[in-house]
Amino acid sequence: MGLANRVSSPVEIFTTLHYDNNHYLNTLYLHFVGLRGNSLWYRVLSLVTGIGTVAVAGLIARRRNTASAFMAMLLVGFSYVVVLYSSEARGYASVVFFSFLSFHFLDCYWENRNWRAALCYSLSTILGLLSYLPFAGFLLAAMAWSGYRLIKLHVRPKEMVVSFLACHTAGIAFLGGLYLVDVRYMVRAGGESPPWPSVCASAFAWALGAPLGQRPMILTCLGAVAVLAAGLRILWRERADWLVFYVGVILLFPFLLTALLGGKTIYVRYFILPIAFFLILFSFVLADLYALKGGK
Amino acid sequence: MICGILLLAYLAANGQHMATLFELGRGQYSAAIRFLAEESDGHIVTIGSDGHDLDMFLTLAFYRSAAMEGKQCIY
Repeated sequence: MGLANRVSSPVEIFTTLHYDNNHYLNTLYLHFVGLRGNSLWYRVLSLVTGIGTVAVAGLIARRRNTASAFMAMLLVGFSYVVVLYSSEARGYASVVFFSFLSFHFLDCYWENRNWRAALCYSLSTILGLLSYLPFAGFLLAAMAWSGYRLIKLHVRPKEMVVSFLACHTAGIAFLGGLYLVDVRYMVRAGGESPPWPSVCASAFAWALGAPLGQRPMILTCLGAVAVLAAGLRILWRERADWLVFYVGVILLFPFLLTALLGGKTIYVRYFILPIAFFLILFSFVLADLYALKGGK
Repeated sequence: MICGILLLAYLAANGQHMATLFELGRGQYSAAIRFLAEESDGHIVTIGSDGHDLDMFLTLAFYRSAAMEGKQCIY
């Protein structure tokens, strides 16, 4: 709210603030809502997108099977990280919502390559970038996924380029525009954070709820690594194209982000997207374990 | 069986944090700043932080009028 109060027009949110805690979509929302006595108003966007995230998690896992959809909704709905950030007047809840939605639209697009899905995907990626800039990690993973799909489809090079650009032009152009007007001037909030390996391990542990105490935290982190390996193995068996995306968004993205920031001042919240997609992967593991029992 | 155990462990681990969140609420910035104002003698409250200067500045700017009880705040 402090940031939203410092600007006199919505355009200034992009051209004058230049601050990494300025999550555009949320600042725009706060700018239009204005000062109100009740702080609940400031959190409506996060609350609504947080609730929507549970539904969209079901939608994307439903593309695998019903058990995965049920598990995904349960895991995302009861995730402390998701609940916490859905109560915060920042862009974390909306970035998860729009990343799940973008994944859904892109998956729809690769089914029959229709323009409506490409358009919805493009709009969703723009809203994702407006929510929180590390959404760029999602874009990179989605582009790798698209490239892999196109190679597997064995289409002509021209068709390849057209299909790729149909999905990703808007996102890339918008990110470029944000870089030109804001990102290159951006100041980071600073502060001191633990060493990056510790932050990455904490992010893994928090994905599963991170019980209190150091030993349970380490065990949870190891458990998360095992879940990740099991989830990726399932995708390897079933849908190699999804595997490309999940490896990109959960593993490569944190590595790139950490490298980009030089391993300094990194917080668990930077990994909200890897955590969210990890939960979807976990739902696949649980659904398969349930099916093993003969439930289906 | 394994699915149920994993699910229960997940719900328990996340549930303990959520219970705390629902019991105590979020950051309690107003209460923290009011406490600083109450515990500071005189009319000036001096506040420092571990490097989050802009974050602290914005937070204090937003809460101080409501929570400082008329005292002046120096960051």
